[in-house]
Amino acid sequence: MPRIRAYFAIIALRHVVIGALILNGQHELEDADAVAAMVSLFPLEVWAGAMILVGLLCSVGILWPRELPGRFVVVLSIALTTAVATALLLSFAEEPESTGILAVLFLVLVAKDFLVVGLRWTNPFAGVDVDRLEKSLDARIA
Amino acid sequence: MVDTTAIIVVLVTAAASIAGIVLGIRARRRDVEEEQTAEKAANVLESWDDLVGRQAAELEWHRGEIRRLSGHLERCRRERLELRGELILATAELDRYRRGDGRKGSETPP
Repeated sequence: MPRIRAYFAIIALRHVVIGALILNGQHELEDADAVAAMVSLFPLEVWAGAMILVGLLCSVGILWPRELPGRFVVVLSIALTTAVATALLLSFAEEPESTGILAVLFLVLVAKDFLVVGLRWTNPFAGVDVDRLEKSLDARIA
Repeated sequence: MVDTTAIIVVLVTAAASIAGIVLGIRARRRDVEEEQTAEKAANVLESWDDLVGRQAAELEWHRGEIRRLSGHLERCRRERLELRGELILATAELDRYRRGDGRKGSETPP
């Protein structure tokens, strides 16, 4: 499942980096209109901590790509990203002067997570010894 | 504002999570079905492979039999030709005997 590992790496990096950036600039962010709804729900440290936690869980999927826990982690990512996107949308609805770009970007990230969680992760022919069948067929033809 | 925001965020997040779980379960079920189908297809291919192998062995045996029978047929043809030659010679001898210029001392046709 190399592609799924790559996707886990991407979402792990995404969550950890965004969480770290929120922690780094939380004093400036707290006063921003764009995140007013997020701040009204939980302090920014909580959002950042949740993102870093989900990012770390995703990074487990890189080393141990099992399907069931992997899908569970992607659903966690969907839940957290949807919560952030909804809060950003509500802030934008409350203060139309603030930027709505963040809400759109987070909604796109949710859509990507939905796309991946609904995809097939394994190769159904992984257990079939295609090489042996091909060699056998070649020997018959020769 | 806080209550409404919290309720909306919780509801949307719950809906998205449920949708994600449903999508994941459906994808996993599809994975299992496709793996089973692939396994069945592989078994069918292997049984066809075995069948083709057996038929190839039978075909080889029939080829050997045909070669053996062809040799036998060739020998029969040669014997037939030899017998035909002998028959022609005997017929000529019989004709000479009937005409009275058969071999001396010979009472019966050869």
